[in-house]
Amino acid sequence: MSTESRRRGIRAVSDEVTFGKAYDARLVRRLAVFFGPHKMLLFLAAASYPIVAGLGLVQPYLVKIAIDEHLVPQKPDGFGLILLIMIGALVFEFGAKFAQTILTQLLGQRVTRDLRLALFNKLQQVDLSHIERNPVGRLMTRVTNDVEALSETFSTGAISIVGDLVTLTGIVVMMLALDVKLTLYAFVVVPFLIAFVSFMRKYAREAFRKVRSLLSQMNAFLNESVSGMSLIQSFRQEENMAAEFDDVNGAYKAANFSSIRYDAMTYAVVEAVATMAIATTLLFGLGIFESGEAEIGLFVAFVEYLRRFFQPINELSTKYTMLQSAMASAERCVELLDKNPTVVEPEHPKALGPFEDALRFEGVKFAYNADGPEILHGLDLVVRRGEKVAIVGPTGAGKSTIVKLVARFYDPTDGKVTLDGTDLRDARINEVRSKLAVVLQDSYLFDGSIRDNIKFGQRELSDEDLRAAAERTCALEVIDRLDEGFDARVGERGSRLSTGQRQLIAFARALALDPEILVLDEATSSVDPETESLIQTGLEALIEDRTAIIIAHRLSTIRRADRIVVLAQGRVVEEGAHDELLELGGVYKHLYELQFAEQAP
Amino acid sequence: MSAETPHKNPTGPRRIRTYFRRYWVGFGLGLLALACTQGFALVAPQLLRIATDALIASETDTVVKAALGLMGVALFGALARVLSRVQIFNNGRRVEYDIRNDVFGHLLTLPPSFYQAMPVGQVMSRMVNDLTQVRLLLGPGLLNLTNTTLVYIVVIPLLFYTDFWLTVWALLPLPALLMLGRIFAKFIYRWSREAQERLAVLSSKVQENLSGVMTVRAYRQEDNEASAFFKMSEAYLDTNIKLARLRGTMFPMMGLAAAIGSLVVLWVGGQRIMSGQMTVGDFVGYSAYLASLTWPTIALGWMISLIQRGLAAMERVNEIFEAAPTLVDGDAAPAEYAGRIELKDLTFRYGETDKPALSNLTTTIEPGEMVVVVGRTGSGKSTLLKVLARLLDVDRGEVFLDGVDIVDLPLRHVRDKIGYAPQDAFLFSRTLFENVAFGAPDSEDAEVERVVRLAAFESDVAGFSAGLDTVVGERGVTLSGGQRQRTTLARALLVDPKILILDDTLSAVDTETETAILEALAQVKTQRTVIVATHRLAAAARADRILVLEHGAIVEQGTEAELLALDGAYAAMHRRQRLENAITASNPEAA
Repeated sequence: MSTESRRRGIRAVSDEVTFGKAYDARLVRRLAVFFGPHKMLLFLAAASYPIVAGLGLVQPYLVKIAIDEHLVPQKPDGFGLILLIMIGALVFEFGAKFAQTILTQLLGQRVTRDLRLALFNKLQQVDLSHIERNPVGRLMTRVTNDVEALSETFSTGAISIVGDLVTLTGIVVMMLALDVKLTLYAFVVVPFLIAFVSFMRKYAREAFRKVRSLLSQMNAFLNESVSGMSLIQSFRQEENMAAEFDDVNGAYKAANFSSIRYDAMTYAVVEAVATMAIATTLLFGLGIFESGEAEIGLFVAFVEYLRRFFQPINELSTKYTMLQSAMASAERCVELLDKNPTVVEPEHPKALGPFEDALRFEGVKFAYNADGPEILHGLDLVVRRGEKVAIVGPTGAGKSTIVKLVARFYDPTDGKVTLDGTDLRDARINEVRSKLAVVLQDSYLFDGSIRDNIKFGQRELSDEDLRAAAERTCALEVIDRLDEGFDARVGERGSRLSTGQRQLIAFARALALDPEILVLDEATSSVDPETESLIQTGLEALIEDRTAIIIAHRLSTIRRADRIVVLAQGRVVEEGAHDELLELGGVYKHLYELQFAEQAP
Repeated sequence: MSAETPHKNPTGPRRIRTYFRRYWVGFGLGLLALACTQGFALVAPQLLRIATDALIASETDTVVKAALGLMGVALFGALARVLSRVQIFNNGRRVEYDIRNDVFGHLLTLPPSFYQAMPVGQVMSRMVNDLTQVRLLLGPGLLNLTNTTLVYIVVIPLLFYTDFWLTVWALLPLPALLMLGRIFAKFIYRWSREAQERLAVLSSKVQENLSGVMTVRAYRQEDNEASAFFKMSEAYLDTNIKLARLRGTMFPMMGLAAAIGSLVVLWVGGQRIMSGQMTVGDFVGYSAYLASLTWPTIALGWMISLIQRGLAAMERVNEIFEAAPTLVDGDAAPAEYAGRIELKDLTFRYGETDKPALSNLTTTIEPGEMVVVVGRTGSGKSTLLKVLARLLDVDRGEVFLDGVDIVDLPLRHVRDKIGYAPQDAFLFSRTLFENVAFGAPDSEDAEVERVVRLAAFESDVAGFSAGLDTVVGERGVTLSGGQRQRTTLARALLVDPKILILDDTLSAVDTETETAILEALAQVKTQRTVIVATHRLAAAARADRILVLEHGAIVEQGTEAELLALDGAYAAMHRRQRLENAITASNPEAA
């Protein structure tokens, strides 16, 4: 493998920048579901388009009548009536356009809101593996940017591309009705326009795609270099990074240059063709007017119709590109919506009674990916009711995986996990989880008050119970020290609290739930001695009179356990009490000595 | 937002002017072409007037001439249009490119204190969104503003000249249109911001929900989360509907105002034609001129807010330019870099009023020595190591490298001699190879492989199908904390530094591996000074000397045996750790 291939600079992973077709029947059908609840709105909005288009045809025709019947023959009788009709048409057009814009936008906003909710709800159900495997940012994009791209097609009127086509057709029909020959003369140059635009479109689209892709590349580069600035500086890579940034920034500029060129050319050509159309009408239509076959009012009306014809054409290409990128977004949304979880509710769920006997791992094998390494190789483990089991073992032994299987975040690849003999897969997911309180290593807190975090959805929890839970787990000591007590906000991810404080709140949250089984993945981070002793007391309260599975990292915790299970490479290798295991002189003794070599018991 | 800026800081607009001037030829050419475009466009109504009257009078020659004239106008107008748009927009992009490069260049010189005050998101938003606003000011803003001005100064006098009173009546809706445009633009801006904020709230909710997914599911909070999200969604919808109503009113209203003008022309003009004061051609020409005012007027309100936003955005970009690099660069050099570090009464504060993070540190670290710095969180370990890596600035006379004041040494020399592996193991979205070779991009494969081995990372790398060519980071394979840290270590080792600084670099590596790594380092350390900050006392056992920090001061130093014998702070720490420390490595497993 050559060293050359190893230095490609920043990765142009522009997976977010793809363009679909502007109209994809399959996707539209799939998204049609979201229009269902808003049928009335959809109908009204759709109905408004031909009305607006129709009313727009009236004015030039009225001007034609006015000129030919009144102005040129100098007959003021009835001219007032025409003005009145004109005022009426204007008022109606205003009303219809008003309704059209608002209806379209309301429809768009409601539909995208529903889609956003559907995506969020989907994220609550998809397999945990899907969430763990994708960076949070990428999944977030589905619910935010992708839905926004769809919403924008409504708010900017790109969706009205269909309405524009109605308008264009209306104008052509009206012109044909007035004079077929003159219409043909006016549109003599249009085939050239069509040829030119379709020729350009391919390049313009490619240029635009490149612009978007380079922009996302540049943003990724910036984000990373700013985040890693101290590294760049301490390794003196300023010049290299500046040069790399110049590359991507320059490429972005160049891509914009070509995009600007195509846009400017298209815009200019459409404008020129609009003027050309009047010229050809004059040039070829000359005979019609001279022979008296048509009157001057027709020409004036044609000039106005042509103006109205070419006006939306300029926006057509912009709208088209927007629709394309919206379709690509829709594609990604649909992909997520169609993702079926593999951890599913059973068809005929068995009810779980109160926990009486034991939680068992029976020959459990597990791998996160089908082609990935196996984490658990036939694990057998029994946790009896009321027992406190500490699980220890080196990194990578599969300890945290046990937590994920008990809470049924994942299903075993082989073997089964049973609760009082019932396979977890045969019970309702929420019923399984209602038996447990899970305390994770990183004690995730949500932005909100401490009260909300401890209650965490248990709305019926009284203030006394809340306080009691906090008191027993020693969280109260932390809470009382805060000015706002239980109402203090913890900040994003609980950032206003220290690691130790977060753990105590998580303990209180678990205790408030009063679960039958406690699953605790003990935090490894070291905290100051005072908090540490609070945590120890809190932990004791938490596991008192309770079945507990603890992924243990602290000696004190291990000492509290009824039984220690030593896990190594996905299997239980030793099991027993602390002293027994030390005597055994195996893995446990080794682990123990490594860390506590100088401890004289 | 625009209101707060003008007086406070005049350098934003001035800076735009500087960049603008750099491309004045291009912009000038573009504006000239724009004037030509408008010139051609304004000839068209005249030709239309002539053609209409000639058509009525059956003057074939004149009609043909007018038609050919229109074709010419169309052709030359198109050429001028392409030229004007390409010149103005391209030069706007050039300015954007230049400013962005300059900002990035400046960012590379700014010290950590700057990044503490301005988070990544803020920097990004200035580099991306604000610069876009500046570019819009110089591109479409400049183009449309010039356009409107040109059309106004040509067309309005022309209309008055043609028919004074007709113009008075026809332009009656114009001031109202201008006002409306202004008001609508203001509200659109305000509510768009509100919508942005609500969208941001919504995004954080999604992020929080995804990051805390296990907690959400374990506590069966999916439904509550969904209903919280629903409420936020509704709030966002509300703002969007306000915006929708505004847009729904604005555009038809603009159209109506313009239509009233043409109605007036038909009414009053019609009377005049019938009384023979005006020809049909005059009417057509007049209507065309009046119509040409509509779009520039509608655009004006939008342009004004575009320009204000552009200027305000430049002020924000300017905040980056105004941040000065605080690290001073010297030009002295020692006779030879051996790796001796002397600290003399080193005191360091992050802010002038803060209490010192380091106070009165005095010690000498000899070349080849392995020093382990221990102490509680917040005792100043990281600060000390950052000072040594010259990421933070110190006063003259406090830190000496091989006998020369570190302040007098060129930054690049110092950093060349120092390999620094920070606490937060940051990796770039590149291959492992590139990440390891970050400080020495021209390294041979063999060198990279050697340090990977030294960092006990070899077997992990072998586990990836692409080996060292595996792309890591945000957009690649996710490494575990320990793997990230070992990559960081390898990166620091590769530059073959005289001084190796490890700031808790191995905290997520299990104890056995850490021991192996430190053994390996101890074997090759003879030529190298190694300074390690750690929470794990197991590492301290291997040190030539242990520094114990408390509140930024050295409270004890010596070998482990000496310190244990002293029975002071270190011994207490040692006892506590024996009691409390994790039985296995403190490694949160890679999920």
